[in-house]
Amino acid sequence: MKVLKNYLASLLLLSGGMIFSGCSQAPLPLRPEAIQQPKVHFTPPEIQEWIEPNGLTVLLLPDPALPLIEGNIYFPYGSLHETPDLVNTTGVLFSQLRSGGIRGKTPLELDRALDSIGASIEASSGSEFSSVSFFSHKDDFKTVFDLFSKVIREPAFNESRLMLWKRQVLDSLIRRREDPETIASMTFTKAMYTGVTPYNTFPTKEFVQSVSKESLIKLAQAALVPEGTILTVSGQITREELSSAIKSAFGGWGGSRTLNRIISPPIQRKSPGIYVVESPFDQATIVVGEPGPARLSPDQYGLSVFNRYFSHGDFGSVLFSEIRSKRGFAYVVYGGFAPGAKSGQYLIGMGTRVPEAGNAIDELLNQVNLAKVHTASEKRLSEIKRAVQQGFVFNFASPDGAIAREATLRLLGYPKDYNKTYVDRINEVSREDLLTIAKSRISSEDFVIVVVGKISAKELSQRFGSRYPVYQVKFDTEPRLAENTR
Amino acid sequence: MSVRFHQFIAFYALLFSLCQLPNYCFAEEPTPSESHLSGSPIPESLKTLESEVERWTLPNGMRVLFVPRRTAPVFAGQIWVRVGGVDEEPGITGIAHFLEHMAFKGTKVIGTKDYSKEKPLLDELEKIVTTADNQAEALRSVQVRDLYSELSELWIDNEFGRLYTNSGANGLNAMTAKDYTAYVVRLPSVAFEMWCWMESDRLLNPVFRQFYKEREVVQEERRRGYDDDPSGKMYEQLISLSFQKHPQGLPVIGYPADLKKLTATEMRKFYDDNYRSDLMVLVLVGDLDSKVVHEQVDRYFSRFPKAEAPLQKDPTPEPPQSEERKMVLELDAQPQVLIGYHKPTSPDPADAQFSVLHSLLSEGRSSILPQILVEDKKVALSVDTGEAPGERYPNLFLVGGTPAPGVSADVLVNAIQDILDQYAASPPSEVSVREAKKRSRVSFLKLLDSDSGLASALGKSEALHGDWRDILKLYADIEATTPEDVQSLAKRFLRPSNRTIVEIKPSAKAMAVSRRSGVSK
Repeated sequence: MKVLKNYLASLLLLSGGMIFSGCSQAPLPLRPEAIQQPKVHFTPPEIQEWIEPNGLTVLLLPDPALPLIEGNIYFPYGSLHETPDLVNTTGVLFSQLRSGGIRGKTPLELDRALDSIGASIEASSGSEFSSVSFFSHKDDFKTVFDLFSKVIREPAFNESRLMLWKRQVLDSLIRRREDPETIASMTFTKAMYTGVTPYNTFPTKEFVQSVSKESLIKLAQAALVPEGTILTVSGQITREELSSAIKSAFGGWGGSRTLNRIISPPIQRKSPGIYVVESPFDQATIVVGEPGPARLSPDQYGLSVFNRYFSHGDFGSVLFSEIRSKRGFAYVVYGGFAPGAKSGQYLIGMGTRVPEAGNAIDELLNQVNLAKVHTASEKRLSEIKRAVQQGFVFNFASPDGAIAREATLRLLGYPKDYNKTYVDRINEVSREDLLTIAKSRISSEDFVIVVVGKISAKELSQRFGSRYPVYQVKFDTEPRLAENTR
Repeated sequence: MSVRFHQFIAFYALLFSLCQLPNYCFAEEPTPSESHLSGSPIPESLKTLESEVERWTLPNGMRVLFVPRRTAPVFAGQIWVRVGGVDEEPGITGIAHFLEHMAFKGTKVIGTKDYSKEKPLLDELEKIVTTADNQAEALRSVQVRDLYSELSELWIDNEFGRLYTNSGANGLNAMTAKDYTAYVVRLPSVAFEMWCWMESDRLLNPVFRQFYKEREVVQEERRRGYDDDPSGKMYEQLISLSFQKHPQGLPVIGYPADLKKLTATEMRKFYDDNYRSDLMVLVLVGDLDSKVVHEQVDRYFSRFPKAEAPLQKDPTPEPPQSEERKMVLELDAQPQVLIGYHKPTSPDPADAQFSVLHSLLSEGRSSILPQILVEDKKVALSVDTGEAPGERYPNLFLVGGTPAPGVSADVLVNAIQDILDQYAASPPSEVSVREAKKRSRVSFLKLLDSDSGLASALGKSEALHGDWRDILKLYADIEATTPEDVQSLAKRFLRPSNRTIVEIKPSAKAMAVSRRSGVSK
């Protein structure tokens, strides 16, 4: 029998790693790695660009495929630009900008004008920039683009819609207690940062009630100006058509930004420890982290590779493999370095059954320590580099995605050649770089660890009290030290 | 037109099918020349789609759809299997979804260092579990621990997913709903043959390794999405109360008691019964060459055996509901209400007409329900409509809302019913129905705008009703809907006796939180 086995094995080798799927079929490779996958070659789509006389940058990517046109206007103003007197106001501004109607049209008239033709205009705020988008059928473009410009230039901030927003937000302030992830995230942020800053201040009842139409008008005038602003458009439209529409809808739009232009760094609280929010959830939600590097730090490419290797929420990462697959401690494991403009975070999130919460935290700490002495093998590192190389094309696979990426890179201050050099820079990252990152960028002793669920601070204190102070936290109040803590 | 019920059951979007599409028709395939768009104003892009989609059937009965797209050198590859929660029986609820998890655990080649050594160990483990009086104790025994120790040496964790990731995969995922299971990924075009290899191997030769560890993971998924989530609990109760005989009432995620005792043996049987070539649809949209697609698909997927006879599934029908059903859940949560009205699904033309009704009621900020209930009467903070739980059998038209502070659930339910009664009394205006149709036209165009979106729409339609062109039929049915059709729907289906209501009532503790916040009236 052994002889026969050897004979069969040699046949397989001779066939170049192929198996036969049937008499008439060509042989199939034994493993998928045997299938050649050449390097992906592609040319990113050419984006047209110009600057309007008022300073508005326009990016256009025509796409003749379907009779649709969509666009975005990006304002370089987000919640992190808020000064202490304006904290939380950016979110309100962009919520009410769209829902509050425009001069000459009530909110309902604006809504009906768009709903009746299946078009949309939506606004959203972000931490470093905010945007207003539109979507329309080609035939309705002029109508929609005109309304789009009025939402930006002539918002009405209707009182009744503002009151509705207040009712909804006040209700959400109560309902956030039903969501363990919101509780964990707010508790984490409050433990990490101090002071009245956009980094750690959440809307309160008093804030919601204080918002007025007048304050929104003032804020809109200061924030919504063409200076530094980028308009992106993709779809079935030519440059001439867009230029003409901009001239008509945005002609005469001017002004300069009078708001804070600089993002201030957060004020660190420097209070590592385990913060336990005892709550009725059967599942424990865990957030672990510490302050992290700025976005354009010299090791940014290494950080990106480290994330993929160690903690990125896909199937190949160390944490997914060790914490979920091997040990079954947590269903969800995700996170990594999240660089920010001035300072970022190193953040890992886990969802685990309550009895395994301690084990999951312990294993995470263990893996962090191991990453400082053992890193990816050369084979694994080259797999990661290849994954980046082959998958990079997806950034440009759709016209709206490609143009949104271009605008975002500019707003976040990335260099002009970022797309061109990205893959090469990733290929320069070495195993030593990964070790250096683990050693220099992650300090588990500085971790803030938040646990939300049906678990007692006392229990975690017994296990971790010698390593971390353990705090019992009542959601929305100051933490107090648990028993058995050092 | 997709009907979404995002506000209340966003989490369940992956698990529950919410799009309205006509029912499965297995017997006959329409001829290619037959157009589903006759008699309706057809957008050019939909006409083009009919000529773009290439459809063929392998000798084993597996169907293949291919749409070439040249935007970038990438493609969306999806496999749709016509099996989901509705194909389960009491006692094994959750097994279709659990099987989808296990399809990432590898094959006889992927995920193992040596399958010939692994197989006897897996068999031994399974024998211990299936013959034990107490499964949990058996899994904690020294004998099992030793087996795991040996198996761990043979396993290569997450190799299946990693091979995909290493090829530049984007959006590798899978979904299980009441009616289907789908495996989706986007890849560079150069990885097409690799996709054929991976998908054919995982569906033909799956190995249920790490089964009992993954069973814990699935139970966690349940706790996270249902037991710890008031909306999840409310939804689960609604479908269970609405469907007391038919498997539409069983949760796709599974009941805790079933999840706790499912075995790999039961999963193997479920797989053998349901993962058949005649229930599978391959969908490819992207920058691929038709000749290569034909060659490779044939090479890899013709290996699947041909199903001997059509699968007979005759779940117990749900008897007509004759009176209102209601449940109040007292939870540490703020109030919510969810109403389900029994309704038919396609091929009943009422299905497409419900899409128009959904659009009138809640699609867009100016739609009827938010306008009247949220803005004018101020009895709700939000309100939305949709349908659930599946499409292969009669389902529910859902209306859900958050009562405004100080407003009882009963007041909101009555206000909703008043609006529906008005539709029963008189039809909506011609203009409003015309506008709803326009919204549906634009929605269809949006559907065509991404490779993945188009692949999903085609795959789902083909898997559930036997022909992707039923999307076009749905479009035509929507175009044919009249205001009187909408009135007729309201009369026939939106009656209190045909509805089930589940309400979340805040516990004393939750009431105290609300009072302390000073937000409630």
